[in-house]
Amino acid sequence: MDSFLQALPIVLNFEVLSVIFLAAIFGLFIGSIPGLTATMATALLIPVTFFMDPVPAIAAIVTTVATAIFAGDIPGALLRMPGTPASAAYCDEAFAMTRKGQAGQALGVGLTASVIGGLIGSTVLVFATSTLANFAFSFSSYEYFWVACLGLSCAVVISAGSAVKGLISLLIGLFISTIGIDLMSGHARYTFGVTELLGGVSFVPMLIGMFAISEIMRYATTTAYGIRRAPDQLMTNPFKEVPQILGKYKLNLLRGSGLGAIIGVLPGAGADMAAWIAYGTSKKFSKEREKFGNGHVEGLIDASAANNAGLSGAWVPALVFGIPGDSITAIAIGVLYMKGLNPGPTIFYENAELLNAVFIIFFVANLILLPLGLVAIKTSTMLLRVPQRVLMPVILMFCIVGSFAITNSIFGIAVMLSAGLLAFIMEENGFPVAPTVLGIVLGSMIEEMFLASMIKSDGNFLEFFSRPISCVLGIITLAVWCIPLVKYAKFAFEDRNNARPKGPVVK
Amino acid sequence: MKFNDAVLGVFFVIFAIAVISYAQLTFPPLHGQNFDSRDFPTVIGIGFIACGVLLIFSGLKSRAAGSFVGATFLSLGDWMTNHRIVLNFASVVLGVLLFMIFLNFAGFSLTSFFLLLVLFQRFGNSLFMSLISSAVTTAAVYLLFGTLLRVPLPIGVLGL
Repeated sequence: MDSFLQALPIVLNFEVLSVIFLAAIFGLFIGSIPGLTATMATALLIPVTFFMDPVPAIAAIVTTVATAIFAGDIPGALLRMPGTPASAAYCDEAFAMTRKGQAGQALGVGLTASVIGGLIGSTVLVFATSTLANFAFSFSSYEYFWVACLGLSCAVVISAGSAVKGLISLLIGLFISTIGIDLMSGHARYTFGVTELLGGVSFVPMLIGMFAISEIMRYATTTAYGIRRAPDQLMTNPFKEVPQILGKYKLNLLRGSGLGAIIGVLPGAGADMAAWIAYGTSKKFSKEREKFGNGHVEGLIDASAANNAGLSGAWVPALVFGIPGDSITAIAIGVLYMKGLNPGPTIFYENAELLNAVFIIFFVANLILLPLGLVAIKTSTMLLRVPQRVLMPVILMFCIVGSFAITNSIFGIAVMLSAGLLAFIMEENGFPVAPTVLGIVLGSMIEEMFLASMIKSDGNFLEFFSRPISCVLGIITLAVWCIPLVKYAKFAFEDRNNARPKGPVVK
Repeated sequence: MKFNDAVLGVFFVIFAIAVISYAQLTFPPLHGQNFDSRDFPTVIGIGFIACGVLLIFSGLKSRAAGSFVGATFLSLGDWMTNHRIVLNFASVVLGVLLFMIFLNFAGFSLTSFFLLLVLFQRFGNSLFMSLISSAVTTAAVYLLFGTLLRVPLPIGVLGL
């Protein structure tokens, strides 16, 4: 409690609060523009956070993401174009409400559910991290190896599309992590004489490339241009019927938030996955299932709460184990390392004040979303009129200078461009990008823990299962690896059954 | 630009062989240890080969089935047949490349202004709008990064 009280003035001062305010506006702006994601907003932000103190830097990231995820609902409801992938799950539902003239209500409910979901998620974050941290203290290299493997495996299994492509994406990330000087032998690997690569591929320019440049390339190659005008609907008081609606569906609110926080904790499953699953669950257990799809507010509450709760949940493994829950926390882990706040259970003792400051930031960021979100809803028709043809070159220039600023050399720009092209080609061919980022972040940890364990056990792989926790974690990891095989076997079995003639053929 | 899975599979297998042989042939062994810096890249390489082979199978299967996506080894996206859009894409990639080449020589302000001008034009803004936006963006970026955050943006031979 003492450290919590000591952390209060670290957050509640003019500098941090103004950073939170500006970051919230930035997040609302980026989130409400279709095509610009919350991850991209974070990537754009890192070069600026590079020059900040740790607390304002983390405050900027947390606030931007929380507000961007809500803002994604705005174009989703008004134009049927989700601003961020996390709003895609209920975009049709919200648009159907707009068609009935209830745009204000859809956004008002979405905003309130987002704020409550975010607050519940933050509470889960506070309690889950401290509980898990005590547990994580007894971890040795075996346990860390399995936890990292489990994180990466979840990212592959959960990622949409083919598991093989997800795995390749992960391997690309792991390979990139091997570039540079190997800490064990001191030998430079895959640097081909390039001195800039000795310290590894610069992480920040890489992320800017993968999440922002690839998006700009995708914009440059879109065949359908043109701005769709948002319907002019009066949004005098979006909160008018919100208390009654939320009162009626309070269980949905709790269920969505809880589900979101839990899904967020799973590595690789971010806010978008949380929203899809929460929406699906809402529909399944609803008493008015027939109303779904025709502008029914129920699913909106579950999913809006879930995606904001998921954001906080993703920070649990990030802070306790240094294992990112999604691409955004992968970026955040990079920032934490840059600021000397090495994630892991020891952070709770070494930097207890700073950690509590991070927790407080989560609450402040979600609370500030309420008034600023309301302003965003009121000005939404104006926000949606910002033409992308003007915005994209500006973003490109910010990316270039941001990448340059990290390395103070053209090499950063080269990394950014290469990563952008890689991500663009990967996505064109159906490879998810998130596993690559997780691979880059976790690669060196996995290698270090694997080699340390192997040397310790003298090459006996069974030692990886010798301790109770490592045994359980190992078995869970192996079970996760079996999921695609089981899926494939089931698929093949059904295929064969379908191919068989079902009854007598009448000639 | 969508490649058939088989093409990608072959690429990954070749890439993996290169990764493994480079590690095995050039990385030094760690004296007195059974495990060293060659092992992790080798494991990654083996993973690439396994996935590559699976991709080759699925690619050939979809080609044999004549499915729309996998029927050819390389299918160009809609955008690649449209000259205007190909030029847009090229202007992003080549623009950044040229920016890198000329940055130190011409200085940040000039290179940024011209790259932005080309892109604003390519994305369909009017010339007047493009000129104004390029100048304003360059000034804003310079102010934020160059002055406020003290990033040493190159000034070039003209001192700009």
